[in-house]
Amino acid sequence: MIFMNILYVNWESFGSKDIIEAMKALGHSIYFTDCELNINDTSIFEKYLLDKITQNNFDAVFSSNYFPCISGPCNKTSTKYISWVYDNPQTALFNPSITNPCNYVFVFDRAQYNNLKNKGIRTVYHMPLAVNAKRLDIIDQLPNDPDFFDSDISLVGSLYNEEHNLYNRMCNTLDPYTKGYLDAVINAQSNIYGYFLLDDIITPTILGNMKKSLPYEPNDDSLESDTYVYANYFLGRKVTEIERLRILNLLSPKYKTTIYTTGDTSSIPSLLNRGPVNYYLEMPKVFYYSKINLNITLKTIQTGIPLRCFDIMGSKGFLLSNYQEELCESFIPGVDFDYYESYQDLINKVEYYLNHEDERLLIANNGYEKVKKFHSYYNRIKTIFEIVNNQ
Amino acid sequence: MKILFCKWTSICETGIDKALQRLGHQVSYIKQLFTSVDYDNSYVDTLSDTLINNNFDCVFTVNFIPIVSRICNVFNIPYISWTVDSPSFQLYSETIKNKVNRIFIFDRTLYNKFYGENPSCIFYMSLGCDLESWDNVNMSLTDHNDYDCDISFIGSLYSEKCRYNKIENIPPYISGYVDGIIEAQLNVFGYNLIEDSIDDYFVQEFKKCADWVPLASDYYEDVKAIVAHTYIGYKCTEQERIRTLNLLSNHFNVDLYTLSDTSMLPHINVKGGADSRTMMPKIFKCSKINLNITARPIQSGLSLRVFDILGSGGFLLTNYQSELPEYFENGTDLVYYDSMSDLISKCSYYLDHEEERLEIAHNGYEKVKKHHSYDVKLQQILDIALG
Repeated sequence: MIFMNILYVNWESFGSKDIIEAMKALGHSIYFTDCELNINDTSIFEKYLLDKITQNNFDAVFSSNYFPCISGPCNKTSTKYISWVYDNPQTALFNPSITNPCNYVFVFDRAQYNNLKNKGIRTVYHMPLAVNAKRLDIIDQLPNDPDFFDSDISLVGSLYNEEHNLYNRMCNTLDPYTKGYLDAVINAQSNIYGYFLLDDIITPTILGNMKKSLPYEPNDDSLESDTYVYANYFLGRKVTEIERLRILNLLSPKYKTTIYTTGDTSSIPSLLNRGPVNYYLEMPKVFYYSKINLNITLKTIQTGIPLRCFDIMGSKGFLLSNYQEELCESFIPGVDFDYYESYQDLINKVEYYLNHEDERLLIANNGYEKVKKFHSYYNRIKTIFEIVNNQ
Repeated sequence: MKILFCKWTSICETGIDKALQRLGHQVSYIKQLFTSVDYDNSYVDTLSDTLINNNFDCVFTVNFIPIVSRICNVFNIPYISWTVDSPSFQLYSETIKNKVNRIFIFDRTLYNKFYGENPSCIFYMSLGCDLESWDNVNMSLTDHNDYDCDISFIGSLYSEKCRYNKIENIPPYISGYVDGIIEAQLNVFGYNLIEDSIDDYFVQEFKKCADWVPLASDYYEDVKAIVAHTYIGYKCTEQERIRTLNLLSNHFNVDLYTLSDTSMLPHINVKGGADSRTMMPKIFKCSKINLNITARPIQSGLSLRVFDILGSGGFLLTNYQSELPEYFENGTDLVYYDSMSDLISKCSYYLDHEEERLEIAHNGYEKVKKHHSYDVKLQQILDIALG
C-alpha cells in the first residue's frame, strides 16, 4: 500500500465526507483547497492551484466530478489528477483537456465510459458509485419520528419540470413538424428501458430545426457532438420529466406517495410534497421509513447505477427501480432489490410489495448487507488508488 | 369428422384443407364467396341451406368471419376459426362473444387483448405450415437455375397496402409525430411501442385528418389501436422493408419477390410475384439465406413465413420477435437479428459458413416437422375446440 499526500478540491458535492473518510481510513494524508472554485471564472482558482501544487509536494489532486481548471495546473506540474464523476451528463468530460496524461477520470456509467473510450480517450475508467452504510447509524442517534417520514412510496428527486429547462424553452418556437417528431420519440423513449435511442433518432433535418429554434453550440474545442447535446441536455431530461410525472400520477391517487423536492408539484394534487431533505441527516430516514423507495433514473444515465440506489440500499430501504443494466449485474432482482420494466409492471410490483411486508423487509436487508460488503466508499477508493498507482 | 370449410381465398386455405384431409376428416365447401364479412343475404341463405341439409360437426374458416359466426350461432354448431392476420379488424365485431365460436389467435399480444371478450371460446395458437406438401416439391435443374441465390425475401413492400400513404394534407405536427414514432420503432425489436407511445390528443387529431371509415355499428371501434396498427404500423413496415432491403442490397446479392413498386431499390434483383404453392417453397429451398421481416402489426407472434421457410428446409434469418424463444433456439434452429448492423454481420457470417447454415436449416426443419406442421396444429385445434 502506498500512502499518498492528496490535495482534495472541496466543493459542495454529495459524498465528499464519505470519500474523505475512506481516504483517511486507507492511510492517505488529505489536504484541502481554500479558494473558491467558480466555474464561470476559473482564472483565480487556476493560479491558486498552480501555486499550491508548486509550493507543496502532493502525490495527487482529487475532486468529485471532472474540472478542466484542475486538470490544467496538474498537467503543467505533472501531478496526477484523480476525479470521480457522479453527474450525468457532464459537459466537462468533452473538454479537450480530458486527454491530459495527468488525468485519471472515473465515470460511473459504462455507456458513458464506452462513448469516451470509443473516441480514443485513454484517461477514462469505469467506476460505479458507492455508499457509506454507516450512515444508517444516524437513524438510531436522532429522535425517532416515523410518523413524519412514514410513507407507502417515496421519491427523492427533481421532476425536471422547471419552466426554464432547455426543452421547454426550445418548444415555444419549434416548428410543428419537429414538435410532433420530438413528442413522438420522447413518448417512445419513456416506454423503453435499457436502451437509449434519443441520439440515434436525431436526423440532420431534426437537428437543424432544433438549432434554429434554440441554438446551443458546444465550444469550438469541445469533443461533444451537437447530436449528443440535444439528445442528452434537451430530450433526455424531458423524457425523465414525463416519466416521473406519469408514474406519480399513476401511483399517488391510490397509495400514500411522497416526493422530496424543491420543485413545484401542484399539478399532482394527490402527491404529498415535503420539500427538499438534507442528504446526510434526513434522506436516510426517508429511505428507511418508506415502504417502497422509487428510483426513476435520469434517462441520460444509460447503464449505470444512480447514487440514489446506493443511498436507498445503504439506508436499509426497499428499492424499486426502473430496469438499469448495471444494477442487474451487481444486485439480484427479487433478492436485493426489484425493478420494473413497464408502467403496468411497476403498478403490479407496488401492489405486491405493499402486501408482502416480510419479503420487502428481507429484500431491504439483503440489499443493505450487499452494499455494505461490496459497495463501500472504502472499497471503491481503494480500487481507484490501485488503478492510479498501477498505471 | 364432417367439417364445412368456408373459404375466401386466403393463401393458407389449401394447406390447411390438405392437412384436415390427411387427418381423416371429410371436408366440404361452399362455392359462393361472401361479398362482406358481415352482411350478405345471399351468402346467409346458401350457408343456412348447407347447414340444414347436412350434418356437420363444425364449420371452419381462416380468420374470424362475423357472418359465419352469426349463422353458426343460429344453428348452434361449433365454429372454429384460426386468425392468421394482424391486425384482424373482424375481432372487434360484437359477434366475437358468440358461444359457438372457437377462435384461435396466432399472436399472443392480440390474444391477450381479445381473450377477455369470450374467455371460454378464445384460444392462442401459433401458426404452422403444410410441411407434407413442401416435402413433395421436386427440385429440377431448371428450378435451381431460376431460384438459386444468396439472400431472398418474398413479400409486399406495403406501399400499396398502406392507408397512411393515401391521406392528403396531413398537418405537419401529425406527420412529424408519425415519422418520430417510426424512427423510434425501427430501432427497437421485440416490443411494439406504437400504441403505448401515442396519446389521446394525437389519436383524435389523426382521426380528423385521416380517410376514416367508421366500423359498422355492431363493432367496437378501438380508434387508438386502429391508428397504431392499421395506419402507423403498416407505414412502419413499409419503411422497415425498404430500408432493410436497401441496406442489404448495397452489401449483398439480394432477390426480391414482390408485386410492389421497387423503384426505390436500385440494387436489388426484382423477381416479380411468387406463387405461394408452387414457387415459394422452391425459393426457400434454393436461397442460402431466407429473410423474414415481420410486419410490425404482428406484435409478438411468428408470421406464416417463419414456418414456411423452416418447413421447406430453408435457412431462416428473421427479425427478433418476443415469441421466438418459446419455440426456436437462436443459432440452432434459426438465427435472429436485432439491429441493422447485426443483420449485416449475420448475413456475411452465414454466407461464409455453409456447413453451419445447413445444420441450422436441418434443425429448424426437424422442429417444425415435429411440432408445427398443420397436421400437428390442426389436431391440437380440433382437440381444444371440440374436446
